[in-house]
Amino acid sequence: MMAERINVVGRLLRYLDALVFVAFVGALGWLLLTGNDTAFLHPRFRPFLTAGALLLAVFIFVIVRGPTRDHAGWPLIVHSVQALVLATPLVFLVFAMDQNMGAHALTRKYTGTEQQTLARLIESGKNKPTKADGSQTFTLLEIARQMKQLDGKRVVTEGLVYRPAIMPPNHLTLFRFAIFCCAADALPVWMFVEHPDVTAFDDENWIRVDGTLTIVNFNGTDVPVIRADTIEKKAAPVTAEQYLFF
Amino acid sequence: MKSTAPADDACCAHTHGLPSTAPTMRLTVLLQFAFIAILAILIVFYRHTPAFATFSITFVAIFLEALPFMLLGAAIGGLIEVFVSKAVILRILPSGRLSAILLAAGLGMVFPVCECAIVPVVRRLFAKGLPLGAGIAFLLGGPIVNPLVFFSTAVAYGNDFRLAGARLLIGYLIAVMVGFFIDWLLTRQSALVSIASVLPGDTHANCVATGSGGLWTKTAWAMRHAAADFVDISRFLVFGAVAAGLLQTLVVRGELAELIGSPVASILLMMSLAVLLSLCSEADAFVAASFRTMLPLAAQMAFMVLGPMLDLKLIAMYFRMFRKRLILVLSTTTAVVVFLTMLLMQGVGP
Repeated sequence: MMAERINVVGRLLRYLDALVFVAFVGALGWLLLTGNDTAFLHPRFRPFLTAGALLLAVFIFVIVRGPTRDHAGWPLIVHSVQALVLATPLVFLVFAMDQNMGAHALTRKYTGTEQQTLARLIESGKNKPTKADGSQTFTLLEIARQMKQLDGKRVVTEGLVYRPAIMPPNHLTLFRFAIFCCAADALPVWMFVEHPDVTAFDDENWIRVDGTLTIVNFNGTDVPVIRADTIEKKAAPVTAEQYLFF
Repeated sequence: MKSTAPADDACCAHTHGLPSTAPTMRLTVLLQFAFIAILAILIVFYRHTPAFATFSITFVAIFLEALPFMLLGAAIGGLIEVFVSKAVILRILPSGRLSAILLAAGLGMVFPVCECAIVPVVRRLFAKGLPLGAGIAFLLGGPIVNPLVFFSTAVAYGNDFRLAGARLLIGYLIAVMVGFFIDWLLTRQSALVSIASVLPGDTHANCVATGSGGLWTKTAWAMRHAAADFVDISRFLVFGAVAAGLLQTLVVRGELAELIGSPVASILLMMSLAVLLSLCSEADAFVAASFRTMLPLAAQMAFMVLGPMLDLKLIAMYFRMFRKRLILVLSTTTAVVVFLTMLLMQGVGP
């Protein structure tokens, strides 16, 4: 019985690379099939992830069909440790799926000049001042990109709350992250919300704001401010829907 | 299948066996265990903190973003190993040292690759006899001098195609300069790690088999080489992604930028950020553009030129291709050349 178990372990170790690749294919397949890839990457990366999963499947096939490796002694340990290191992103993937980039990430990524970066993107001319269906609901990214067209108009939007001690009374910062490629390059998209009851909301609460957009000059930069008529708490979106995408 | 056969350059481009000495191997294993232990500690004690969320999302995102391109690079490298002989490489390249470097630095325009995909490709090309300077020029220039980076840079800066063109031109010139300098300073033997040491379990018998057989057999061997390359290099991508994730979690970009009092300091700051943040060359322009009202253009350009050439994940991966001496020379030279170029740009710019 013991000999059989040792034999099984030996066989598993022979195909250690293939096992790690199987775990990666499983993870990529799960991310793609559930749409959870957008918790980390822009949707335009889906074809690349799919191609990666296919290449890994090819690797698994050629490893399993190919000659066996000698894993005796040191090489066995070396190879096992390599496999463990390679598997660490998968472990963190499991934990990261329950997490969101919130106020902490905002304080790290914020430079104060994001509005100008967004303003440059307006110049593409693809933006329309209002939705075709007449809806007043916009994402923070749409508002930031079209703030001049929306100045003085009613907007409804949602995002996360950030209320540092230096915020003026009756104001909070509403923010979300917009990504170009992956969460590592996420750009905070933020604006101010003015309302008498902002103290009812804590950092990282998700809120829905309905109000009138105005533009103010903040540290030399035009920044949108929503003078809110109503603010409602809302449930946080699932992790895969937390980002806005350029 | 254990081989004791010596290397044979006539049939393959590398030696075989496990060249690492036992003490080196022990140290390597211990360091990797320590790395895993540190990550385990982070998970056990910090997984409910906001900083852990920032770190874990950033780490996984960087890895996932690079993964398909690493796989593609490894597959291309494997195909080069099996289907492209040394003679072909030497025939394609111009015979002159400078002309080979000039060509290699611009290869990204027809062979667009990001910095993650290029490492396994260049490693295989080196094993096939690619001259040192040409390889360095391709490695540094490829991730910048390519059409995808050109368009992403233009979009990030509001369809500013002149600025995007300037980025490509500066990246090309710096790749040529550094490639030429390293080619003049070092030899292949003193600069490159033998590819033998990166393919544990790869045997000479296997390699002999690589050179024979039909298309299917050769392709299968190419993919085995690719799989081995991927396992070997992607560990270093993990190390780099962890380091970049930690630094993105710890560094407060806004406060750093506020410390800047002079163009020189701002260039140095953005060069440091480029190395520490380890962003993809196709996305870094958007982050650089977010500093546009705080920092001079030369500082933003320093970020966009240095990052694809030298960042934490790249430095980690370089350890599987270059000797420490070359990594030191390459890092220092690239950083100095980028800095001086940006000072020049600052001096002559608007």
